Amino acid sequence: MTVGPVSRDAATAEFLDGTAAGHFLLRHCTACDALSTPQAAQCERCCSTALDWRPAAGDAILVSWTVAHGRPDASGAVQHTVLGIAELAEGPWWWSQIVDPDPALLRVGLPLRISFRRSGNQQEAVPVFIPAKNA
Amino acid sequence: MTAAAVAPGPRGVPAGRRPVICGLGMTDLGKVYGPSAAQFAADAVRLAAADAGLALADIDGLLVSSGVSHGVHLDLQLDLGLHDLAMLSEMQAYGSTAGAMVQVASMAVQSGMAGTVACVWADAPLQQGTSSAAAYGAGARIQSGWRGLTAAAGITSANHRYAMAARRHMERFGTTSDQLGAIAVAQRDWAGLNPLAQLRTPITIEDYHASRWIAEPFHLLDCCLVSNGGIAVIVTTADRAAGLRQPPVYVRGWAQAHPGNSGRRFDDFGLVSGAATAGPAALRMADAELADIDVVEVYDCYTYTVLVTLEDYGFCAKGEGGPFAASGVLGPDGKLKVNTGGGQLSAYYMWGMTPLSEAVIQARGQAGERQVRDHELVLVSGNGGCLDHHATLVLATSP
Repeated sequence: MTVGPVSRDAATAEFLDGTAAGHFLLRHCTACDALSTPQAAQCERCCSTALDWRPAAGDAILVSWTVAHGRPDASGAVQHTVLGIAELAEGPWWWSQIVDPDPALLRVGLPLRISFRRSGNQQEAVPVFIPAKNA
Repeated sequence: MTAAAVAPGPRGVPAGRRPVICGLGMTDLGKVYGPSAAQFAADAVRLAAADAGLALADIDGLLVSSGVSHGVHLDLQLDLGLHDLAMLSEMQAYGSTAGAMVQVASMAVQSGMAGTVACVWADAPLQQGTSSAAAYGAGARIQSGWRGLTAAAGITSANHRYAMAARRHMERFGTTSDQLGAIAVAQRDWAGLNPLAQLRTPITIEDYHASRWIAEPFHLLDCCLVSNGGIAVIVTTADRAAGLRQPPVYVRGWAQAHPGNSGRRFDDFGLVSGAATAGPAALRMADAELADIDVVEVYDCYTYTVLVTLEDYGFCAKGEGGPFAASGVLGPDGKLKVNTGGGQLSAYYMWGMTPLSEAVIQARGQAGERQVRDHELVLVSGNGGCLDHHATLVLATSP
């Protein structure tokens, strides 16, 4: 399982409607046109609260990462998960999983693409990143 | 008022009103099962009062705080039978809370708002038979909202966030695993001299590399302990402290910094912490220079946190924390006396009370085998969130 389950709340409902349709929605300021992170309640540039949603282009670069090691399972196998900070082309950072990277290729600035994974058919689509060359 | 202006510190008030830490109370710490966080907190305050030579009834201000078990609240007043308090509040700035409580208490006694203020932190996350990871909530339960999305993607722990901070520092400045390991080894050497420390067996850099990965670049030995227990300090005026049992520890300077990282392009997450502004500000208030500092007690949730804090305080240039840490400057035989009790990595994990308690012990000259010879000025840091909240104190043996 790549991602776990998550339940929506009032703040994330519209964003998760977006991920279900394959979009990563950013907050767009109708006053100054700036794009802010999805969880922003006011424009990160001009502080206006007049925000609508705008899909991100889907391009990002790697800012930092960690290879997280789970505890050994019954067979002694340890699950490795690459987690990272991605900087979207529009500016905001997003913390999520980097799916299927070649660990040797991890570097600052690695081109990434936004993708989506679900923990099950009935579950919400969670934004993740994949190396752009795999996209 | 210009940005360079500094609030008048303790040296701006009459000598008798300057703030002093007069009491320190520490419960049994570590794998201590049974008491709730509130019970640890009450015990810590009683111990601190006894240490100072005060009766509980002498306390007229109380600041309370707790860790992940959230068990210490305003009703601690009633648990302690404290009547007619002049100040009572619950504070929360995560790992910077202990320093922040001492700052608020110092301002209260300096102003006369209160005369004798107990500041307490306690936590009881460990339950018998469960892991430290379980205690800090790295479970797989379904979560909701924005934090739930992050957790669903696999980012479930402070280990992951700090590992990414450390990785960014390594990529930018060339910091290495050996350099992080040098911090773990040096602090374990200090812990070996501290009867209060949970982990006292010496380790080598080979042991460090052999310890299991938690979240690369962090091995197990990069990460702090998890402990149950409580610690309290009592702050009063210099006049009041003069008749009490313990050598006075003056709170000479202080500052906080909460960077409010933007979380977008140009964010310096992982590269710089709040210590970069709070350290110099606290030293200015204390009328001291970094070179005057004898002992440094740094918040050390991870080895990396020590490295970035020492850099930000200016003990070495930005980016040179790695070579500095590995140069032999740390540890009991090193030139810079840092985390002299073993810190949160090896002694006990009481959030900001870990560096603060060791600072008070060193300043008093009561650290036994690990006592630093010159201990007139002690620099103490607290760090909360993932480098989001910072508090610095400058403690001194003279006003």
